[in-house]
Amino acid sequence: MIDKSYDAIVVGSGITGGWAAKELTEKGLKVLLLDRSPDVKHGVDYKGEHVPSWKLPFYGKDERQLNQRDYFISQHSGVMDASNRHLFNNDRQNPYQYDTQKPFQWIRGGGVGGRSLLWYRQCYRFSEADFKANNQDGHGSRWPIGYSDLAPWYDYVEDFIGVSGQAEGLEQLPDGKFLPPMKMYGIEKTVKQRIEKKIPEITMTIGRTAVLTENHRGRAACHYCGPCERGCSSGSYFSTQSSTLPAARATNRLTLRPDSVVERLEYDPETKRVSIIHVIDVKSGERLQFSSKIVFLCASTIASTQILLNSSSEHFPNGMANSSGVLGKYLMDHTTGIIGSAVFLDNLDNYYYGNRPNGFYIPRFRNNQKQDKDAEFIRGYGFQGNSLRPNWADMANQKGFGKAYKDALTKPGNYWAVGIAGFGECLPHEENRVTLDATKPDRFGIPQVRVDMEFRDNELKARADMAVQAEKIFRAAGAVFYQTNSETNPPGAGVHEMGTARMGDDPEESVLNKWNQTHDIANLFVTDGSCMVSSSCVNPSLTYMALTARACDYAVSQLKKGLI
Amino acid sequence: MNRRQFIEFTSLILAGGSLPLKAHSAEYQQQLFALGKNFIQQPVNIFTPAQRQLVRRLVEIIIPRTDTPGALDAKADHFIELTVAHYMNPQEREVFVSGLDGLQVGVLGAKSLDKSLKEKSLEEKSLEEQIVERLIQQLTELEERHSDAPWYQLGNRVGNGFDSSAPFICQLKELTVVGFFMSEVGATQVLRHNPMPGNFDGETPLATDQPSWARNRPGDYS
Repeated sequence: MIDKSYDAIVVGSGITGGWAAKELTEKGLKVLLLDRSPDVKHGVDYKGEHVPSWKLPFYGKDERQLNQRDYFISQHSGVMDASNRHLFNNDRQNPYQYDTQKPFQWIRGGGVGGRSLLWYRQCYRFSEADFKANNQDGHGSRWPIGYSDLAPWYDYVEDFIGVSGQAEGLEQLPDGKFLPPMKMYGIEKTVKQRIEKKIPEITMTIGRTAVLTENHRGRAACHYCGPCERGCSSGSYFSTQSSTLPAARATNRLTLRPDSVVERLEYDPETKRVSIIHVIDVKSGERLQFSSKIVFLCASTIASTQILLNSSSEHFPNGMANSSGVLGKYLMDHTTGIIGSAVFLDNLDNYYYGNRPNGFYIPRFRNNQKQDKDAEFIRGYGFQGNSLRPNWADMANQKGFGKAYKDALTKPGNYWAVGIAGFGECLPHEENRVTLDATKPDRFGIPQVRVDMEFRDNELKARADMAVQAEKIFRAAGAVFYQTNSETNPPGAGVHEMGTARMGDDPEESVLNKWNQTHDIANLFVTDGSCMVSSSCVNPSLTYMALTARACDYAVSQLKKGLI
Repeated sequence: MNRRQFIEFTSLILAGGSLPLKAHSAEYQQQLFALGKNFIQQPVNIFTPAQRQLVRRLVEIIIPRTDTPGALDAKADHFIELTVAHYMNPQEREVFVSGLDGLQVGVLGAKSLDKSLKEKSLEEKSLEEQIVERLIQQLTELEERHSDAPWYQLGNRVGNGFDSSAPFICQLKELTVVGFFMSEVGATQVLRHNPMPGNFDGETPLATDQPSWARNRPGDYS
């Protein structure tokens, strides 16, 4: 029996799925929101929130055996422990394939809300130059939209979720509608002042983050407890649970169905529509069928593409909505990792109060407007940094025992450390792709995804430049000691995976049109990171949200006109 | 110091950084966390009585009670026994136990084993002092002998991971330090614990006698 009680079905309840559920229900549609993972109820299921160190197993040291067995990918997120492990993907139960010579870290959420509960919450707008870059330098295809198409939707999203930040008036990093910025450490103010004086093309600003610095739309301002990734019952950072899900529920038109794996979509050649969604109930094993007027895939870049690839039919032999043949191709992620660390002997009479869930940001300063003469790479990168005043954990490795050792470890160390991580743009390469491995079905019988991805020459050359520039920055900032490193984390580790179902005006070289609607099937939309045509160097979640809200607006207007 | 270690030095304070993890095989399934109990409230019994008494002496040597509580007050010895039993892999455990057994405790009568240090008579205290003195000497020698261990290098911060190559003396210091500063006693009575700060200020004045803030977990940046 096919359940036809919904106008729209949204697959995935993370950052974009929550937005689709909110927008579609608020526009009057009855929505079924599916998620493969167990429910995570706001507040009550944040079972590690505000748990003190002494209640964690081994006081929070990694439970290595458990992680190695079940969370061997999730552990690379760096923010998982016993307090929030239930919010992460179990990698043993939900495997994927990759060549061990070319590791890809697919870090996934494991509960309703997905990675919206676990993200680092940085919110940056793509610039006009980001949308034009592919076309200008010939790498990748043309974006079907420009900054002006998305700007009102950035406004709309920022206003709803609450983004704190400092307006800087930079062309390469458009300002948004900001709540008051978080404060910098004293050492950061010193560093900022020195850098901006000596290297005028560099701006150092506080991170723009979806953490509330004042009460906003019924959600409380941040209380600076620190580990956001354990969940926040005061809803002080944006997550599906804190923000979009309550809005969708308030319409009384939302049905959330956790533990529901979407196996495949079925296409009806007569109506030229997605006609059936095949779902497996994880708990009962029952197979269910749903039908709706429109379908929004928001399952995350790789998962949405997996569903499409697994929805082949006579009409679409290479994957649903894949008449172009580009589905699965042009996977991107940002290069990430520590570029440098520096020691400062300034502001030593400063300490701090509260745990700031945010860092500072140095927006792209290379190849802006035009190609820099000394740059051996195209596009750009940004630096995200943070500061620390050392404490016992940083100083435990000193020699000695007894009272002197205890006293030294009890007090803050006599320096500040500032580290910066580089986030580099990744060019779209056809060979960076996801495919299905039919020989390796998962526990539901669904072919596992295989990811083939590596960073290439341009990404690595930009990485090398980051280390050179970081050295200049540290010198200008007055560091007494510093180290730099140009290595990148493996692809996937940035958790900014995107591409594989890109947008475009030309149906022969793109999967989605400028409204995130598939060229091939009018009632099928994909609005997560898989739609991306290029990666910019800025964190992409805000852009995904804006694209989703915009696509929902279009879909409902088309529906009302009877065009879907 | 090698480059990688210094890079890791601040990797934990940054978005996108991933923790280096070492091999392991300890069997442990925790449930205490969900029940809301203190981690060290659970029983463990892997040491012999003599080993247990020795660990008690060692942690108090490393972090003694002064005008504030010390490692024994925080039951860092019990934390160590739990960690050796359920966290360490067999190789790490072998390093720890043989390191422990390699220490010369001197004249240690069986009857003194079940007495806590403060219950001992004056005469026994003087004996105890001799034992402690000898242990400090041995720890100092061990530290000299292993002074080139990577564990001592700049950039090695005691975090969420564990250095599988660490010699006994480094294992002992790390677990004592974590077992002390992350404990309820260490975090609330020696460090300053403020689970609900309410705001953030990155340039408060620092008084010279001010302890650091306690951490939420060992890998935290603050």
